Amino acid sequence: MSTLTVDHLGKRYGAACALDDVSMVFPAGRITAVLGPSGSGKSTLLMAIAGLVRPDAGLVRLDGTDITGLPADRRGFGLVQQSYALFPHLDVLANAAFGLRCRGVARPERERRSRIALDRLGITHLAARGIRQLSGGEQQRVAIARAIAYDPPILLLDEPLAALDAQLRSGLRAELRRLVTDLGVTTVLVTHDQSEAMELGDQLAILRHGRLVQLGAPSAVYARPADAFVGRFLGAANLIPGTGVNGHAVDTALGRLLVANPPPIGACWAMLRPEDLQVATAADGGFQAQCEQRLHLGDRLRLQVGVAGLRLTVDLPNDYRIEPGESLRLEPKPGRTIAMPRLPDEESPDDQRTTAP
Amino acid sequence: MRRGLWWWLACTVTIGLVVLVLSPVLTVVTIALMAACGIGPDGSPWLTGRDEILGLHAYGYLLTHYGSWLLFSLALAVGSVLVCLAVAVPAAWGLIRHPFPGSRWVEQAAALPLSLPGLAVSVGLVAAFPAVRGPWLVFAGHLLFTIPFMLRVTLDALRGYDLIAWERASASLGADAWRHAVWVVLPNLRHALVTGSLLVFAVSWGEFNVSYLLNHGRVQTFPAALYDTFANDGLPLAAAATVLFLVVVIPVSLGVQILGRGRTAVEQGA
Repeated sequence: MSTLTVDHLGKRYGAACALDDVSMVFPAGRITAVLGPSGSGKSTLLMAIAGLVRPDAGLVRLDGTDITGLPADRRGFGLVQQSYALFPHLDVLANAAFGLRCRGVARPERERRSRIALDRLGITHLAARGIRQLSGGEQQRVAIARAIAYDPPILLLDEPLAALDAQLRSGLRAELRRLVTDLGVTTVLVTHDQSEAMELGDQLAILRHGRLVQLGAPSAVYARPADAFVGRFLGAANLIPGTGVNGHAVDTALGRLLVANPPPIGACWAMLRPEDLQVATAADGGFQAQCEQRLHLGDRLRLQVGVAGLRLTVDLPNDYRIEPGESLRLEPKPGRTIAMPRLPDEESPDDQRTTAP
Repeated sequence: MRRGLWWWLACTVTIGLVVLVLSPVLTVVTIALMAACGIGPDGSPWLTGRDEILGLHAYGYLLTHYGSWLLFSLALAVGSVLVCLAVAVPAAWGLIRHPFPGSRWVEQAAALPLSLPGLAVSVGLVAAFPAVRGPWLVFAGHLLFTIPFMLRVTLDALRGYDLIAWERASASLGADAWRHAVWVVLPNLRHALVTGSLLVFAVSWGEFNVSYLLNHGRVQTFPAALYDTFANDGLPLAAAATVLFLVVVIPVSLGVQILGRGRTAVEQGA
């Protein structure tokens, strides 16, 4: 198992900065999910690791050895692209064997190893098929088989599931997770899908404008986002403007909220996820809110409530009875409110929007 | 399946078109065959007052007198195919993979000779390369008329593929640029290259204007032999020359078509 490191990686395309001083470690045998919106630099990072983009600054190291100047064809990393880029003039087996052929492995041996790779993906029966005869899901499996057939030290996955429909995607996530765990290969997964990143990643790296904004375990990044952008990007978030006081509280329109982390001095956000709010336990506890909208999401009830000029999203148990127009008392669950810096461009109350459920 | 009015209409139009396109060829071939049997165009015995060469003797006469012209035409056509493959294919790849401001204009400019009369191209060639004369200048003329075909066919084929994704895949799998070209790009261009070669061969084989004007008084191309026989030797010999002309180009077309089916063929096994 190999450890991959990038040190102060930078890359510019004219005036646009694709990577800005990115440093991180990709632990051996683990999946690191690199998450970010379009143009955040995540694909450039992957291409720089693959050796397909030459960084302007910084180093890429494999087990401590500098490989920044090593061309892609001599790195031997496995790469699965969003378009799969399978070779249509070769059948499935020949596609899977391509990497071994490049390494001069004799035909019987490369057929044996390619079949092992196809077997891992459960597509041995497709070995003699042409690429044009395959479905999207089958092509995706062939692309992965081709990338693992020669036992690469690093597996790079560039939006590998993005071209598939939602149902197939969720099935393949579990399969991909199991495969990578079985292989024990150090994996970099680039995606813009936060649920995919949370489900597959052992480690989560959030990129924005070419900068690494946060790195950590998915659960930790979700619970303690570094800033409002990360908070919103990973799921629905109520961002309540306030001012940090006393090193452990934020004064907001909802009153003084105790926060789990030391708040920045001055203007800041208090962030609460929809599931971090609950119906107040004491009759006079918490704050009064007015239910504006009620959505039944099956496993839970999602409310939009108005309180002190703010609009909050709240998830409650699905058996809770309330209708739009009625009021209720809410309070944050203990220790779940997070304080984070508030930048000047985030002053607008409209910025308290929530993102995907 | 019940066939509707539109099916029959389409069928009729298609057959009509095929007959229209093939009729001059079929007429000449029929005359050649009739002449070979000593039958005139009106069905009566071929009787002329001139000392004409009839029957299979016509082919012997043609090969004796125009054999070198035939070989020159073959050499030009094969040479054009080889040079087009060597020049137009890398050029097409470069235009697609490394486009530059104005690369579309280059594409259009390469096709310009096709829209000019052969006379103008010939005069242009003589003026541009006064030191080059004879067969080599004819060859240059043929290349001007054939490279655009190979370029267009290759460009269209390359535009159908995600070349960057292939390059990345190949490189990550351990293939250097040479292996990528030989193991991935060229096999996927097989159909286009075969089709382009057919076009180039056919265009070069049938080219008359430039060849005739630039090499006058020396060994000519075979279409000039057709002209010669039509102008000087009468219909039976000219028809026989036309048959010889077709004997070369039809097998080439068929052979290349059969090879061109490689589009659907997939290499099997590891």
